Amino acid sequence: MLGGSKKTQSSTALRRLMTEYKQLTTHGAPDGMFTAGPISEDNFFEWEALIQGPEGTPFEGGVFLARLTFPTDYPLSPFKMKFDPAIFHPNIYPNGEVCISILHTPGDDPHMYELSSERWSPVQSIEKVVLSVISMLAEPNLESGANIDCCKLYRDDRSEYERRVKQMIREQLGITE
Amino acid sequence: MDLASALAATGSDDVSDPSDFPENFGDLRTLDRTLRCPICKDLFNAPVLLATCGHSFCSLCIREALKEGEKKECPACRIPTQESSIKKNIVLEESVEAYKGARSNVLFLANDAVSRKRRREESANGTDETPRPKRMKRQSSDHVLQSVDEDDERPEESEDSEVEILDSNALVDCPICNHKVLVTRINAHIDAGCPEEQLPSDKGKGKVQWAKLLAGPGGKTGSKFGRRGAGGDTDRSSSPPPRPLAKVSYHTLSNKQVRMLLQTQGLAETGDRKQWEQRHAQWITLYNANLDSSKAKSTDQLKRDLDKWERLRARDEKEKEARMSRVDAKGYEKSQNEHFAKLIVQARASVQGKSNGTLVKGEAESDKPIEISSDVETV
Repeated sequence: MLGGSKKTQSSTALRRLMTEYKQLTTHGAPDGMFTAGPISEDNFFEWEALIQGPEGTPFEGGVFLARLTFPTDYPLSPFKMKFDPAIFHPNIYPNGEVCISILHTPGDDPHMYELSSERWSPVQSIEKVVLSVISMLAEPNLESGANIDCCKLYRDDRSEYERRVKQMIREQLGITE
Repeated sequence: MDLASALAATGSDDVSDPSDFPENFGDLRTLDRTLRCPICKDLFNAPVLLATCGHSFCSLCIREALKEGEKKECPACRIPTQESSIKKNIVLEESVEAYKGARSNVLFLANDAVSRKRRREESANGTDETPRPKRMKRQSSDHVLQSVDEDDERPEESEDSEVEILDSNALVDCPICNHKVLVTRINAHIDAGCPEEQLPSDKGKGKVQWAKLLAGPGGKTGSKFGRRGAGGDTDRSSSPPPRPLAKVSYHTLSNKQVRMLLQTQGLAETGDRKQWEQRHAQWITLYNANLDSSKAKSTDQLKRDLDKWERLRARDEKEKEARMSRVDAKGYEKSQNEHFAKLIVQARASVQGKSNGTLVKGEAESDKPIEISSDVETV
């Protein structure tokens, strides 16, 4: 009934997702910083992204898995991004959800701090969002903290923050000393 | 390879993209990219520009985008705008139509150039022995200077002739709707979302030939497509051009009034109130977007588009829900495993109590139904 049936037509959302997938597979991401694609090719609305920790930051050397969930009216509405397992970072909720203005629609502004110029627009793409997330890893935005403990640590004790991040990466990679 | 199988699985291998062009044809990639709508990433379909900032989109894409957000702004530059600022972009539409026709040829030539270059490099490296005798032969005849090139052109010539056969009035199966389509029309056909007015074998062929004749050399792009909207065109010439439909704010209307709206547009009244509103709103969007196209579709065709939109949306929604619930069920089963076990034990105990009191039927038999019923209760 569901996965097995051959789809003969595709909605706008599906076409757009297939186009982006094609572009990411043929072009690749800039500098090979990440890869992304549907988890299963019979469902284009659930993607997985593997992201390299940006060099020169405490996240260097880490590889992070994120799950992207697309709405059926994509690209009019943004997708959701969740790191699994979660990452210790000021702008990532303890459950792994990413809090970044580019993934918020101009309508919803729970904290009233984001400029609408940084919000989601249908001309954004998976590539642009993931690149923004990578730059967010390098430079946390303390004004919109999602993990308050992490925010505090980042502000008050930077070296301890870096130690925790590195420890987390080692744990995630299964390297124990 | 991965992608090919994915696209085959979804049944649409028509996803085109600037990266179809070889890497060293950067300018062609740029050209391809600039002729695409930044929202749907497809080649422009009935392009319009926003008078407030000058950015262009497909008429349908920008109308839907403006419908969605609370703030009306250009998706590209965020300058405030409104639907009344949408203006037809006639030159862009003509360029895109011309490009759609030329794209496959350009792509073929570019890929051919790459493979030819590769072959030349291959023959230059290493494989000296085989081509040489050929060259010697040719040198004796009169194609002295071209000899090396000819080597390479030979196999490609046969490809060329194959393409020429297809290039004429050949019909190919559309990979999406499986209808026969003129090979020269296939790209436009797919880009237009498989319009159903196609050429039924011979009759259609004749029509196309006539259309070609009438269009003549250097005929306008419009004439090629005039046949499609023939009904609409005659209507229009006799009456003033159709006006866009006005938007409706549904929440001030009663159910009856919304039904009336659907009736006056000749739309279906199935589903609930929410579906009526969505259907009517989408109809207005489709209708108004269609007015921006030089190859306007007939009302019937538009209604079919509306049906398709509703169907595909429902399908995506359903598949998503199914997947979510499937994932949830697994996780739930794991997390509630202990609870399930407890319930099963409880249920067994209570049934055993009952069966001890009344009939002593085989206990092994009673095991099965209990497990099933406890599952039903909890899940």
